[in-house]
Amino acid sequence: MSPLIDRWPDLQRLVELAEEAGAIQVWLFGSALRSPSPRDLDVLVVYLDENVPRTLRSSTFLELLSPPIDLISMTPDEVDELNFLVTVPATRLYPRPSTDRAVAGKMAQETIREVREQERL
Amino acid sequence: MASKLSENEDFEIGAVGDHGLSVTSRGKDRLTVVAEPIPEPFGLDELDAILSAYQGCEAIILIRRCPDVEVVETARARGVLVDTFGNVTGALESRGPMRDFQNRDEAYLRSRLQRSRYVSDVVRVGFGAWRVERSGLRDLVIITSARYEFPVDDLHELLGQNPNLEPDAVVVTNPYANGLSKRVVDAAVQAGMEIYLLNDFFGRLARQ
Repeated sequence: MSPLIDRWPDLQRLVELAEEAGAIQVWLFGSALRSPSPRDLDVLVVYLDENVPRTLRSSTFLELLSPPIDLISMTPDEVDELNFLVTVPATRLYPRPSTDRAVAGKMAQETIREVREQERL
Repeated sequence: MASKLSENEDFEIGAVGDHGLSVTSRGKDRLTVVAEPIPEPFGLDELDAILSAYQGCEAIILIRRCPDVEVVETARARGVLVDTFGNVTGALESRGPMRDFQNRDEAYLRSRLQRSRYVSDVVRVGFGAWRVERSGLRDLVIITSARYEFPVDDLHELLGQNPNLEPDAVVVTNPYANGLSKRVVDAAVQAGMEIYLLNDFFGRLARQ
């Protein structure tokens, strides 16, 4: 299990919910990567089915968690177009990342490309 | 809710009835009420019922729930803040009247818009929703996002938070916003709204 998930068990629950709902990827970014006591946990969920973020918002009181989870959800093409994972340091929580950061980033981009290709077909 | 508020060491919390919380902070004792977390928008009837049952209520917290049209404005006219947990907590930490609380994003939006010679007032009408009153021009209803990114899901969420509002435009107010994706622009157009980054919205303020 990721040490970040160990530190904040609510993240584990969110990752499980995201996986059940059909999310493609879940990333942690923002101050939680730098501080053991961040004001909130910034989480990116990558999805294709627009019900995924809806399900996550309705499944849990994100605002009331400690620390609260600030969720942002993007489709793969938005992640690409906004260069999100290029400009923002992030750690992948789901699917479980490779320990090598460069490999993890490459795998993430490949996963997104594969999903987009499936979408086109 | 009481336990969540208790995490703030400056607050002393007491229960008042089934849904009320007395919060003592900065020497002030203020009554807040947590609305029932049901799927329907929080309407004027429910506002009346709460204010009748909880005399002296200064704030109503909506959890995973949106206010209906006119509720935020009507409540404020009656001295009451209707807002999210985060903003009500901010208001409890502030010294001024709770109904006048502005979070950092709201203060920034107001300071920018009120510098325009076309804007006479900015009235909060929902969650991230505003009526921009203009001199000699019709009012514009806008919904805003202060995040760095504004993906299409955020647009859907904002519209969902203000279900009976018919905004003219959606405005991304973060000065460092990372542009607008094609997907979100298409979705706004499809919803019959204009979409702007804040700097571009100033041009819109001058037009009918």
